[in-house]
Amino acid sequence: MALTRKTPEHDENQAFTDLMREHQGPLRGYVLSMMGGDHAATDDVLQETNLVLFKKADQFEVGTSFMAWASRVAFFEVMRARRQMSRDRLVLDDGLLDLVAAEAEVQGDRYEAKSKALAFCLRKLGERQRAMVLKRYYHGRTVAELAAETGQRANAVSQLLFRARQALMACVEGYRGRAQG
Amino acid sequence: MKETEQKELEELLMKQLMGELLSGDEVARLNAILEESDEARAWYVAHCGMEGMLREEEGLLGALAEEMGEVELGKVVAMPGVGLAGGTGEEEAREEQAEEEGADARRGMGVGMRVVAACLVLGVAVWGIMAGLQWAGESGLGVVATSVESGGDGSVDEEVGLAVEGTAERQDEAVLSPEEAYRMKMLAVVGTGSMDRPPTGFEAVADGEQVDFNRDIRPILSEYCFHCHGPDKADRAANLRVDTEEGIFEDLGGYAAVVPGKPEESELMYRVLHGDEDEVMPPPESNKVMTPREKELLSRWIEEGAKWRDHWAFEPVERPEFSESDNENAIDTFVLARLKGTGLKASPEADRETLARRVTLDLTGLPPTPEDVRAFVSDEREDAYEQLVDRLLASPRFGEHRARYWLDAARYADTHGFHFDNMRSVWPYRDWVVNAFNANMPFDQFTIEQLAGDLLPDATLEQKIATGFNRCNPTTNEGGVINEEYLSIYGKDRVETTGTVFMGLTMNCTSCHDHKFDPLTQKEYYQMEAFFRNTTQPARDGNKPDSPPNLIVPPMEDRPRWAEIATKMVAFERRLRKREQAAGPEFEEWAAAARPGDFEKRVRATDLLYQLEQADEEGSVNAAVPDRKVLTLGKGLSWQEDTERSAGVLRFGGEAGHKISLGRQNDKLSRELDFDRGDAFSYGGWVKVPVGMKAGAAVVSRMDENNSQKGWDLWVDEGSRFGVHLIASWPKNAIKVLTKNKVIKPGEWMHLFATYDGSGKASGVTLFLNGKRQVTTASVDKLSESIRTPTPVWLGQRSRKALFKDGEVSDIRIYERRLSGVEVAALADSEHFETILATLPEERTKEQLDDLFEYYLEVVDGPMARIRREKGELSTEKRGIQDRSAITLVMEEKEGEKPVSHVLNRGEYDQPGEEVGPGVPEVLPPMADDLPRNRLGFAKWLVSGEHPLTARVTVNRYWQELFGTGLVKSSEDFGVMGEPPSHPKLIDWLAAEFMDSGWDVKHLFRSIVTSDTYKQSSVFREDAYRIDPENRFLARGPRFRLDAEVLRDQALYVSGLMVDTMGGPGVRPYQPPGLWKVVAYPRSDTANFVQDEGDKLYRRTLYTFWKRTSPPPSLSILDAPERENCVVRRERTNTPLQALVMMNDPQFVEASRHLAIRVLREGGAERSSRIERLGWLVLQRPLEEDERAVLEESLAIFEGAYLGNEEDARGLLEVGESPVPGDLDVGELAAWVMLANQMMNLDEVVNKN
Repeated sequence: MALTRKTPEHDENQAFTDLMREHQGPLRGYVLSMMGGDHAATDDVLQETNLVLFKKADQFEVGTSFMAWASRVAFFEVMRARRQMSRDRLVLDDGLLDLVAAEAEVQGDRYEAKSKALAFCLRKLGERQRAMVLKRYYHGRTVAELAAETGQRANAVSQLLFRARQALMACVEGYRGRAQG
Repeated sequence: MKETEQKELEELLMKQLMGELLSGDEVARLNAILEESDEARAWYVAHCGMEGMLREEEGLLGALAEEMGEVELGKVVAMPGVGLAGGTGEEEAREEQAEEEGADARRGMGVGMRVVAACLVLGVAVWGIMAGLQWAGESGLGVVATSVESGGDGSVDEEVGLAVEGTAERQDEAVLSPEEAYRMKMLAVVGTGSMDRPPTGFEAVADGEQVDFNRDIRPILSEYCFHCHGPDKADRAANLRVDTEEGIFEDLGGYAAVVPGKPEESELMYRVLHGDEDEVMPPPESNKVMTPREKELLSRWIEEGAKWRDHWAFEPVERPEFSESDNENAIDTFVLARLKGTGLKASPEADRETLARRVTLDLTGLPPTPEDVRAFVSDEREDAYEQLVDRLLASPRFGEHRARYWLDAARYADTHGFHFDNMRSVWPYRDWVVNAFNANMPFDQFTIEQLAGDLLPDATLEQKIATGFNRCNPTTNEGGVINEEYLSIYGKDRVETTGTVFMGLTMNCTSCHDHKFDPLTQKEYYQMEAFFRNTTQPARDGNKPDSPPNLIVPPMEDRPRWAEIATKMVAFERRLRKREQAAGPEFEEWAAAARPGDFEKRVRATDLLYQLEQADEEGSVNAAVPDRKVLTLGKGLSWQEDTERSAGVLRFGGEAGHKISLGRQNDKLSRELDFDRGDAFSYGGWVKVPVGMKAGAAVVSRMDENNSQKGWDLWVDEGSRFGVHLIASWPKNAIKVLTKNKVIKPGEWMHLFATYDGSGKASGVTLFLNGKRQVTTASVDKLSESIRTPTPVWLGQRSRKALFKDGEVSDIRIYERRLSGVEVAALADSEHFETILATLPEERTKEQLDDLFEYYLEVVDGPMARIRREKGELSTEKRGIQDRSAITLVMEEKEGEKPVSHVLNRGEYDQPGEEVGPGVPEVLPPMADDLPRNRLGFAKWLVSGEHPLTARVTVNRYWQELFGTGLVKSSEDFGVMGEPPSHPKLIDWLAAEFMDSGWDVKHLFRSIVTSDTYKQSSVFREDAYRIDPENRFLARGPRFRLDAEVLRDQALYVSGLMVDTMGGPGVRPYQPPGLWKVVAYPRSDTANFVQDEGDKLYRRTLYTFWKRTSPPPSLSILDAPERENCVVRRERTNTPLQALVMMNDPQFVEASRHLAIRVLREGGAERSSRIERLGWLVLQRPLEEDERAVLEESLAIFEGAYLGNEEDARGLLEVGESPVPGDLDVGELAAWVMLANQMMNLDEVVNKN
């Protein structure tokens, strides 16, 4: 609803918002790996992270890596969330966190390359996998719904999606290899 | 990592991502594997990363979805986002092949109109993406596109090829990383300086000419200096201000910012020219750098004596002199004088056809008919053009067209805006605006009535409707909002809207601090807000269309009668009083003769439908009217003579199932007792409430508990209060009135009675206890539907429950009218009157006589009864009108309270500071002492003639409507940051002329459109373009793309589809399904778009229903604003989507069909004559030879696609709701539809020339 006269602040906010939006994918991946694949916890942490990023927008230095900065913020939010969660909900052990974080930071770079590669690789998926990926991630169906729709067992759907992701991972990796080579 | 571990890890992660909980053992395994193997960890992180990307990359997936799933035309359209760069040789080869296939598919367009036709091909696919595919897909347009593609003649279409390749090329460019993009944007922001400031000084000073302060210097100062040395006290640096004459010349202790005549002694020049970054002004951190030219101008100005002038727009309007002998028309004189300095010459007058089309579009928003144009072209009278202008000004279309601009400014919409965005009923205001323009209401009156019509003495209905202007702002009903915050938001909206519309001031800049550039303070902002804060409007709109304060607006044809009824009602009151005074002698005569028995008869006889009187031995109870045995005693009921009451009494046992009723459905009495909310009726009787009642109970009722409690009752709650329910559907549509106090005394006989006047309002219900009127409260008061129910009337319960257990009743009566207070009193205490009547006339006390007189007037007096009956008839008529009336939102002052507001610290509603009363900014002329300090005074101040802004801002907006750009381009900002006028004298002359003519709007339009300036040919001239690309010096006539509404109206009009009904609620023509749903809360009453049918699809666009959170999409695409806040200058963009709307929107396709039908029916039998007719209908001029050839060629192509191809043809023809005529060949018609569509997309049609 809020439409205001366009001001420099407005542009600045818009640019920062764009930056945030473009990095939601890698950020979610980062948090998800830190939360041991727990989607519900990831949603909460990601939301908190975004809030903090907005608050600290003015601390982001133009010209530096956004992902590096943002994943530092996310790291602390993960820690905070873990303190508030009951022990039995925590998936990863404390000792593992730094290792996963280090790996995730290495992988989290070069968002745009990945995005471009993904656009390419999605088109290379087999038809069934692609259709399923779209239904799951674009149309937002749950695995259970998809199972009901296609008359398969939930496990089979899950498998199919899993294989699709793996194929995408391999393709993206290869794509990057070529681009660099 | 071992293969088994890999498998295990996969299993575990898959489970997790599916949302299944892992067992403790499984978690331990996961940790162990991840800890052990770097490879496992890398794989795990990558997989999570992929999941994250997929979940967030909606854009990528969306593009893919459209591309893969649904759009089969994908071959032709290069999709965005396809990364070609890194493909393997194989893929590249495939893609190249696809490109070639695309080129093949594109072969086969004719020359001439090929771009349009190609867009049709491209358009279908993109429209599909845009609007959801079912829609366009089903419309058959997809078929059209493929057909055209395959009708090839082998020639390659270069232009289309280029366009598509161009797109592909852009995709191949190096993509900026988000960080880089961010940096670029930041640089761009910094580089543009503050706001979108226009270039310094519209008219540059010529060499040898004196520097003009307002034109040359103020823009420099405001751009570079005012931010820190301007009006804002809080931010002022070094206690220096250079926005006032005193400030800039002030002695700062031996030196001054500016010393007239001496640049070398002026601190300002010293600082501006300084090389040291600590000294230089503006300082480096401001990111502003003064150009050498600007520095030189400053220096020259000081050298020439530094003459200070106040900002032009705040100076009084003075009518500039001009010598009449130079030129008849003042407008042309000023424009030519301005042109002279540029070396440009004015253009010749446009040809007559172009001129007719231009002026008709400008004054009515519709093109002329071919007949109009022919008549004008052949009209040889000297004043033929003026005659045309007068005809157009007199057309009711004039008001509709002008209103359309005004409604942008007034942010008019048909929904509330915030949260649920529910419907709002304020369209009578929209119609008022149309009527005001058509009636040529003077602009000062127009202003006063909209801002303060309600405060005018004896305000008329129309004047109150006009105040809807200030009720058009977005409102909320969100739970949990803070009322004060929203009241503050509403107040601010009104300040800013009023500021922009009437004064061209950016008041919004001053809600948090003093204005950075204009001499406006934060305090003044809140003083202005005070005018608008003294309103009875609540913070929440209740999600209701008629959020109060509101007004009943009868249909136009009823309004005279409505006003008459209001007067007559007052007259009736007078007549009643008069009769009361005159009735004395007759009363005395009656009183002398009356006997106790008379009284009983009187109250009983009139309109008594039922009385519980006695039961006979068989257990039947008689009704009042003879021979009506309708009451049967059920189990647990007993009838006995009661000594205390000395009458028969009915006692309720109260076991479930023990009930009585006044008869079955549809018996005669049930039909008579079938009251609705519009009926007046009264009921009640003697009641003894048992001691210790635990739940509420119904004494008398006709209420269906199986159908949302529909019906009515007399209700006693848990032993203390009694009252009435009138229910259509509980609790949403009902009235509930209870006594305010706990008046029921259990165990005692009490007379409980209710009367209702049929008004549908809680205020129409009156409760009596023992004949005395009770103070009541209404906890529910919104009844708008029927309360009739087939369930019978009951005593002692509702249809099933609410049993009056152990209760007793006696002498229950139901009347089909509203009993007067004295009658109810008589029922409650019949002895009282019987005693009086039994007393000898001369022995009656004064009190007794007063009571008796009242009774006489109410019940006995003939003339009185006649007047009352007439009044009753009038009330019925009034209710009838009310039922067909609309409601509109209006402004209303809180009685007896003074308008105040508070200066809000940083504009925050929860940080109120100093209290301020209403006032106007000091930089403007003061309000006259005799003006009231309320909205009315404020409105009168605006149009006092002293105000420097109102007239200037208004004439500028009208100029903008005609020429596309105002004389002041920033028509929303006349402050120092706004653009100075291109023709300072002209704008002042227009403003003066406007005021001197009595704010005569039509006169102003007439003056402008009859000027040579307006009539110039708009043909592009290279010489003029080089010097003046925006045509601000007006060396040619106006030429720009028509607004969204005009484009749609034009299509409807030339095709003959337009329905010219004026006014009424907003209509819902075609739009893609689902748009509302996406943005709406499920419970919003505008969550589901239901398209209208029939005539409503073809009304003028002005009447299209406007949902604020999802405005009509075809209008939005063509730059209509959202109507969320005041807009006085629309953007004017050119985008491909616009062409797609014009070509594929069902509204336009259907209009093309009707245009084609018109052409086939009216254009004779020959192709050539039909094409000629098409040209006249759409362009309103004869076609040129080469144009005809192109159209012939197009037609041949379309015929190739459709003749004999009935399926495709029908697909095209069946777009839109109107039926396809059966007598035309579908193939032929389809080809002509395409040709008509092509014609309507010519730039000559889309533009005003």
